[in-house]
Amino acid sequence: MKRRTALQSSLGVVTALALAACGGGNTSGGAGPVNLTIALSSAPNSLDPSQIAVGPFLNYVDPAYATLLTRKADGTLGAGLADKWGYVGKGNTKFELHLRKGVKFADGTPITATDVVNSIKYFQKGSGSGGTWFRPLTFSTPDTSTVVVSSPTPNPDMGALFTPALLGGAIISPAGLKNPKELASATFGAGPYVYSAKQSVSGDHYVYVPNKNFYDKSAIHFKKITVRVMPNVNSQAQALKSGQIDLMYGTPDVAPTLAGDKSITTLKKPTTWAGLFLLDREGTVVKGLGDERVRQALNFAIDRAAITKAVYGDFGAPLSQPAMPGYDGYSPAAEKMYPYDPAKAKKLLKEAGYGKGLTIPVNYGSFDPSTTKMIQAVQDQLGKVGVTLKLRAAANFGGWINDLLTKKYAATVLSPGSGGDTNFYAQQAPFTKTGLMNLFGATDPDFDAAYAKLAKADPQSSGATAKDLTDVIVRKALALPVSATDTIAMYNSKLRGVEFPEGSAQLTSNTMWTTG
Amino acid sequence: MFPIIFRRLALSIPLLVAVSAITSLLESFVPGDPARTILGINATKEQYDALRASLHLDKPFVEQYWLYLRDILHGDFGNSLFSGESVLGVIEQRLPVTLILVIGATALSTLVGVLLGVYSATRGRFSRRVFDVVSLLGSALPNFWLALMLVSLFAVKFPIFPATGYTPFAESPGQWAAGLVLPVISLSIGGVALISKITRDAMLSTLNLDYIRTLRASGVRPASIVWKHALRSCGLPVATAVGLTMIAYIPGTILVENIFTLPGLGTTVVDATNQHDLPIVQGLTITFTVMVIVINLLVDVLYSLLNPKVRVA
Repeated sequence: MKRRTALQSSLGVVTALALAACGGGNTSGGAGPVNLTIALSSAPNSLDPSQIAVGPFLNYVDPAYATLLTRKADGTLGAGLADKWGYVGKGNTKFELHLRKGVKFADGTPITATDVVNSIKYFQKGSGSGGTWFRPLTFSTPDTSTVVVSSPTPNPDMGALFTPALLGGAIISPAGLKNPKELASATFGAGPYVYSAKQSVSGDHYVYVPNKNFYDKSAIHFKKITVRVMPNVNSQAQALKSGQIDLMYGTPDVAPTLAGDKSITTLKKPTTWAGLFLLDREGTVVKGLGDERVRQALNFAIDRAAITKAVYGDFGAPLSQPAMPGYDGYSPAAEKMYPYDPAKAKKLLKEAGYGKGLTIPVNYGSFDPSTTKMIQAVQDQLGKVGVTLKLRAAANFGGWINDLLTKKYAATVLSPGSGGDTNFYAQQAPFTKTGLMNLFGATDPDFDAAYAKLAKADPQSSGATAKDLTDVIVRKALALPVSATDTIAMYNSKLRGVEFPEGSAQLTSNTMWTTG
Repeated sequence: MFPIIFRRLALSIPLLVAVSAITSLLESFVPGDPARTILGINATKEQYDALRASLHLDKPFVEQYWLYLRDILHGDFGNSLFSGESVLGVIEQRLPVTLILVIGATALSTLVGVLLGVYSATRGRFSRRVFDVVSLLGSALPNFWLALMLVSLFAVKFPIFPATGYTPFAESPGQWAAGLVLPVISLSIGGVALISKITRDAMLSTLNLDYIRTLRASGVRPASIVWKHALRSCGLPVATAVGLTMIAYIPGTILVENIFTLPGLGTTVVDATNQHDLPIVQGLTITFTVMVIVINLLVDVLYSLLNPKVRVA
């Protein structure tokens, strides 16, 4: 009798556990996710839009911070908190934004033009990756719902600054600006959702619930959005398979393991270029790099197709320019300038007086396995034409930056790469004199002329001038691109609206996704 | 009993100081700059200098460590460099998950290990051989591999238990328990192998002792001899094995928590190390050390309960 009771109890416990376990999923019958759960590999350093990095980290601020403008799937700008926008006059230096009527912050206070300006001014002081673009801007408010933004230099794509891609247009309420420390762990925006600290565990999961003061209730599609921190990408894949999460960002290793599963859709798009930033273009550390022929020789010496296949497999494509297919500034002509030709590389090196070779110190982040593989393959191939890469590995991001700032390294690898912006933004950091990644402050008159032309270009001619800029960069071999690498998104097939907008490297806002 | 506890606790103070000093020293050798990691490359020099000063990174190592020690004595373990949360708050929030894992795995491995050990000791040679092979497999299987296999089988192929995540007990006791089944099993396998082997060996030695023969000759029931008399004599070695196993589970949680994405100290220590979040790493190292000290203390107490001679020694 006792044995039977024990058996019955055991069965009861197992059944209860099984039932409890089965009840925890996100999906509700065939209707798709009621709640949206996204997995990311890292926790955010802060929820403050002025501190947070962009890329996948946007998922942490997207739900709670409405931006002045949005990016539609066709790549054009869409309305956000502002419903009218555009340049004032000619020359691409003044941009006007009109606020939508009746918009409120989540705390119920109305949003005025002054609030918008104060928020952007706060953003200008932040260290987030978009901050650089905002620092030179000045503002005026002709009335309570109009903001005029002025740039000291022409900018042909000023609207992009106010989309989620750069976050400056994610407007923070006066209450948030009053206590900037609180911005790190709470949200003070006007987005469709608000962060629920009560339901969240910092570093583990972040929960967002609907904002009752959002101006468009029909745009709220989920009862709850949860962003879960799951450092192990294999665990993310298992959670996606079992329906515990709805979307994850894959890697070339993990993505094939989910292929063939009809309940999961895989989306991939080239979003970054991987390769070497040739920092020392005036030959301060390595004299040879100041010679255009040497830089061109490096470009001829690498077999991009072979490296790409070995390192990125199906999730990369060979690339010889710092712009990717499908993006502003991509130039088919530039792509043909450097076919793999080691003999020509040797000839150019000899002509430049480096027939016996030269040594280039390069720093890179070994914390990204793909970067390590890529740079080692490049090192091997350059070695065959007599160019020695002296590699310095940094185990973490802080170490990489520290090495970079010593200015001992003539080239670096930016992990996980660069790209996804319009050519005006993408080429500013590496190639303009004051660009963040132009550590040696190198200049090139041809580049400067082409960049200035692009800055002033009107929308009709900007496509052609963007291509011209790329052609200059590639002809003068100002960089050593190797591959266009993909961002991989894998998601529950019941989700709709998950896409990369035309010409953009970031997925549409998670608040725009729907179900069923 | 109390002098033993007091002596052990007194000895643990220099140990904790040494651990915190070594951790700080090792952290100072890790290449990279926490301020740069936090701020990224976009930050201005003013922002960078201000952050370094606020984190005391502009001071020499000895001064940094002294400031840290002084703050600890005031109950302030500092704040996370990334989230700004207090280190004690982070530990308080995450410790229960790790404790549940460690205690759950210890309970399971002790129960199963002792049962298997006794069973094996009281069966024939063939059963013992089978047991040896299974036990060897149990100790050789890496728990991360086992965890991945369990997830593939019981969370993906047969979705009985969740693949990842943790539900607080107060939210749903059923889901809380369900979420712990696979992590506890994968953590405990190595312990089961060790405890069962020690139990089996101790039991075999005990069963050959004279007083057991006397009990048999007196007609005491075999089950009573094994479970009441012999098992009690095996208490010391088994308690040692349980203590060692429990200590081994503490680092084991790092892998298991990461695979099952449980918000415990293990996942936190990995994230904090990657992010160069020194206050969190230091706070967690001290917590792990305290856990080891407490477990050792419990084993000592158990020893003295099982064997009064220990109290005199």
